[in-house]
Amino acid sequence: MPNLITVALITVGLGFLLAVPCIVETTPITMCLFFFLSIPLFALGFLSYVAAVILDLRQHQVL
Amino acid sequence: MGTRERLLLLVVLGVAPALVTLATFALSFQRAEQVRFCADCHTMTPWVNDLHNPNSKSLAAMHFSNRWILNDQCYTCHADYGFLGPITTKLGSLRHVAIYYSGIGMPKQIQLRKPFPNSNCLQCHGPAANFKSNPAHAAVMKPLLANQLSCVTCHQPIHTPTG
Repeated sequence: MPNLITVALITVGLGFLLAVPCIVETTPITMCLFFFLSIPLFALGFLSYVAAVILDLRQHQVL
Repeated sequence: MGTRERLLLLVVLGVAPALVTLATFALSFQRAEQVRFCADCHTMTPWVNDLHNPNSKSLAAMHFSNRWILNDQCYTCHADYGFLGPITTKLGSLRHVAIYYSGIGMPKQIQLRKPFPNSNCLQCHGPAANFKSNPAHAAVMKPLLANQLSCVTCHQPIHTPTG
């Protein structure tokens, strides 16, 4: 479970890093980075977080 | 993992990325309407050179140099109008960008994906008195409005790409 959170933090961090160029200056390259890499990384990070929470709740027999 | 820790992680991993995504969406789509953005792709350089050329007699250059369109000159003419127009235009542009960088499905020569709709011209020219009172327009008004006769059949050249 902590591994999943680490994965989530790394992917979301990368997503933020790749979104910064698009926020600073929008060019076709920075826009591609944002749309085709940042957004999927954000989604992956969030899914990892949800999976970690579900695993944690199951471990504590809440679910 | 405690509830407080879980909520903090939700903000960092869920809420913050969602806010950044929304803000970047709005910002980048607005900036993508500027001529500067179109000019970023080297394929467009001859077209943008023509646009900026004060001696060019192309329709695009005349609209640009005479300030008939104040801002975002490429987008104003090439974005479809109507409810879904801006969305389909922006999705189509994203497709262009993806093709440009991936090279998949790249055409050898630049061409319009579909015939240029008259509504893009008529959005501005349609209500104009000099358009309505022109006998040449009056004679073909029906096919013009039905998109059966293109404005660019008579009004040429549209672009004279150079460089």
